[in-house]
Amino acid sequence: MGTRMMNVAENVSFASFAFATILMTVGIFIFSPVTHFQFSVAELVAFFMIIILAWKNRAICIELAQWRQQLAQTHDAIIVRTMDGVITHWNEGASALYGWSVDEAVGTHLSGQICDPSIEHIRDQLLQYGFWEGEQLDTRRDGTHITVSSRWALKCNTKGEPSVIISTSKDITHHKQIISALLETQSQLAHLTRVTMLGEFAASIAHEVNQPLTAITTNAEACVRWLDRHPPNVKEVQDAIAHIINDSVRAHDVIKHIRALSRKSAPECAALNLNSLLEDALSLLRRELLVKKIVLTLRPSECGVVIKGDRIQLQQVIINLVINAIQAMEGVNDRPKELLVRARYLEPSQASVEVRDSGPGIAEEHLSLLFDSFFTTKADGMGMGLSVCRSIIESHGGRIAASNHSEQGAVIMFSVPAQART
Amino acid sequence: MNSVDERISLCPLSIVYVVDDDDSVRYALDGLFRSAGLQVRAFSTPDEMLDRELPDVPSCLVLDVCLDGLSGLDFQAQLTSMQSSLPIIFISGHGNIAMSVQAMKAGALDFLSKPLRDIDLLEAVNSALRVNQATREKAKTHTCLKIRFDSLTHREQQVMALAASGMMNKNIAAHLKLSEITVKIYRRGAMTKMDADTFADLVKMANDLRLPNT
Repeated sequence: MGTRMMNVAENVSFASFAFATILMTVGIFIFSPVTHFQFSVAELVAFFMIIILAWKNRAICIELAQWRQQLAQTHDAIIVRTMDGVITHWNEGASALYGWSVDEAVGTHLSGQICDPSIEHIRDQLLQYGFWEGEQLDTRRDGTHITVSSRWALKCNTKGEPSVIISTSKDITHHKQIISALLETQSQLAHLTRVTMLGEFAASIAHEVNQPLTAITTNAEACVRWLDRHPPNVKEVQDAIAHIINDSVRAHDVIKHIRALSRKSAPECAALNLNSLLEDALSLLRRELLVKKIVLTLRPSECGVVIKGDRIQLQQVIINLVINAIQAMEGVNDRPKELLVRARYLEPSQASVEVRDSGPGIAEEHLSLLFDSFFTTKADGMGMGLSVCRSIIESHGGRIAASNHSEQGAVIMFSVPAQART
Repeated sequence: MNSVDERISLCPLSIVYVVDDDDSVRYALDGLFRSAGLQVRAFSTPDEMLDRELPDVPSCLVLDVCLDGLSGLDFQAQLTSMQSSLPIIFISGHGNIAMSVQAMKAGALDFLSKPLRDIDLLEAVNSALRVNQATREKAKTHTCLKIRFDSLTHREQQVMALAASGMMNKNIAAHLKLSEITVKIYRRGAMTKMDADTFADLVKMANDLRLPNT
């Protein structure tokens, strides 16, 4: 506040001074005892030019004062510092944001206290490109941390050497908190729908565990019989035990997969092989497809495709789309029930996954509503599945869309940023 | 355990067929039946089994309800349409009541849920093999009877059928417009050719052959 007042006062006094000068000049001309109105043309021109310049100067001064006043009003923190970190300008926004007043900040090395160690990295980039923009974690006077969105620029002197760094920073801590709360809610919702989804094919999952368990029990019973023989058949027992071990691993893998899907965990960002992601997701659904007599065609992408994201959430999307397709084909009796899952790499940096069924397709009026929350065509549906799929895909920087195939059935396709692996 | 094994001393050549598309379960069942002294042929699909020539010995089929491609119930229907007498024991991972009812109505001998207990399974297999052995013996006897019956003359067959239905000789004579003496000759011929010691034997044979009463 002090700076602004001082600046305004400075400008006003400067304008008054210019005005006073004009008056004095006019006075000298008028009351000069020597000349007594004996002006030459040149003197008259000079006289009027001085008046015009003085007026113009005054107008500019007023405008400048207004600009400075408006600039000072901004909430953004504007800080100017020399190359060795001494603060030379500190606006009101900076005081409000960081807690130090202008007098306390100007002339000090406060910037070292405010910014996190990444400042070195920023300086390097500044010197190289003259500009830096990004988010950083700053510390306020009371020790609390704030996230700011900053733009830094380098100003050079007349010799072309870097002289000062000008930075504007905006507090985005609250914004960040809102986003993180939103992501947290989305993650919770994804978890909830994932668990509900698992319930929908619980019988198939139980079967996937039951199969190896059956094999284990039967092999063990056979072992008892082989050992009861005279003499015991050790070779058969060894073979059966080897199978028991493999079957235990198989049961364990299924349980691990289910636990991973049902676990509530924050989304991770890992490099994932798209083809193996699809295979993993579909492995849980094979029995479901078998029971419903659906023929699955899985067409992996021809080249290796790596996508970045959360394995569990992406598997959730695939499983959800396939379950929808299975349910869509429930009433189909007059033609084969076919499911196509196809992954493709799209130049320059996208991967798409397409799930196509041979069901009745999607009603035209429903196409635009499909991904809305609480929209469902199922009697016992929540209408959250596809809506969550969309939020997952969008949080991965991708897009999801539904359409009807020209021949038969519905097609749901999503695409996410990807890299081809050669 | 031993009691089950002893009871399976039906025919040493008996074979248990297993059709299950799960490699682990198929291997385990194969091992269990072999450990119980049974011969096993295990297949992953019904087609694989049908492609093989099956030996003419007492046998039974242990069949998974839920198979990749043709389901267990479909295969049962197919075997029935082929007039197979192979007794079927269904095993199921998550079979429901409707499935088991359908299987049993279609003539399945048993419907067991996984995980299986060896006692239950071996008892079911044992009883299936005995059923099949009995069926096969009955079929064999029936075939012999049929051959003998076919060796009778038309008149002898007519007289045999009418006599077995309880008609007196004179009534048969009247019915066929023959003399009573001739009927007696045909009747004696039928008794000899059918290898029937008593008239009661002949009646039983007629019954087994399901001859029409008139």
